[in-house]
Amino acid sequence: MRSTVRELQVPPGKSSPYEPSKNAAAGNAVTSDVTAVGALAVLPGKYLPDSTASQPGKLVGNSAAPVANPATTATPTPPPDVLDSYSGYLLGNLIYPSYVTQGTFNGVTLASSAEAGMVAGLHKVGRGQVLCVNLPLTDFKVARTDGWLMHGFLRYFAHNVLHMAQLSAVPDGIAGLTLNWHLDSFAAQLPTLKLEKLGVFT
Amino acid sequence: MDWYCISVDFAVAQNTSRMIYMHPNGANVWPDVLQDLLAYAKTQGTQRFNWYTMTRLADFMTAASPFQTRAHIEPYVPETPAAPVLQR
Repeated sequence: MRSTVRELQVPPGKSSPYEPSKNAAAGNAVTSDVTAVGALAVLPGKYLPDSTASQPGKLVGNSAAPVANPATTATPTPPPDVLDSYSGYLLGNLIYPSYVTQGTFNGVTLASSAEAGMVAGLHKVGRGQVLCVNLPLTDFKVARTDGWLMHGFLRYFAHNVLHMAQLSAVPDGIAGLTLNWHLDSFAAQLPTLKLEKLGVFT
Repeated sequence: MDWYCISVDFAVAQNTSRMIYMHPNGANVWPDVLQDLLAYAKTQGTQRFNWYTMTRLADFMTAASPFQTRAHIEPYVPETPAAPVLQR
């Protein structure tokens, strides 16, 4: 679910509602790719609608995570906790390799693929738990400069499973955003002056 | 507008930071959206939410790192394997 995806450190805009129909045309049964459907309806122009219906799988957050996401409770219009999939800016569906699994996962599924089965989940072993992530996280991070899955699952493991003390990722432990202004050319000068008069930069 | 608000909420809930980029030409088309975002962020309070420059975050992640300033790493020296014990 979206709440699970957020706990895996995927911010709004980097996941979008899972639509099974978009994967209906998947024809490559051999692949173990896990992909995500991407179409952000909230911000027109920022994300392309999904045009990759023939891609083989989806990486999606699952509804089994029991922890509610506080982020969904404080917004002016609380969004529903829907089944979400990973998506990327101008990329639409994100494709990730994963071993194909079969059968029922006896635990809390965090992410799954319609074609590849369980992708990530928690299950009990003895008195403890094991977080199984069926993805080559190191390869994504080191070879493909794609570290969000590794960082997301490590953070989930430390924070949600072990409840460990952590160094703050932000100064003084205060969350925040950065507004990065792209002043591409002279054409940005007049609009920038108008925004300055509106007090945007103060 | 909702996306901007839930982006603020996400940062607060996960106690983290994210970057949004904008072009003035586009932002100037919907200045009310931008002003609403700034106003919503302000309602979070300065103990829960701040606007950060990239420089501020970069300084925090480097100069303030306890691992960079205090870590002491010993070179790894493998132990010499014990001589085999001959049994008669």
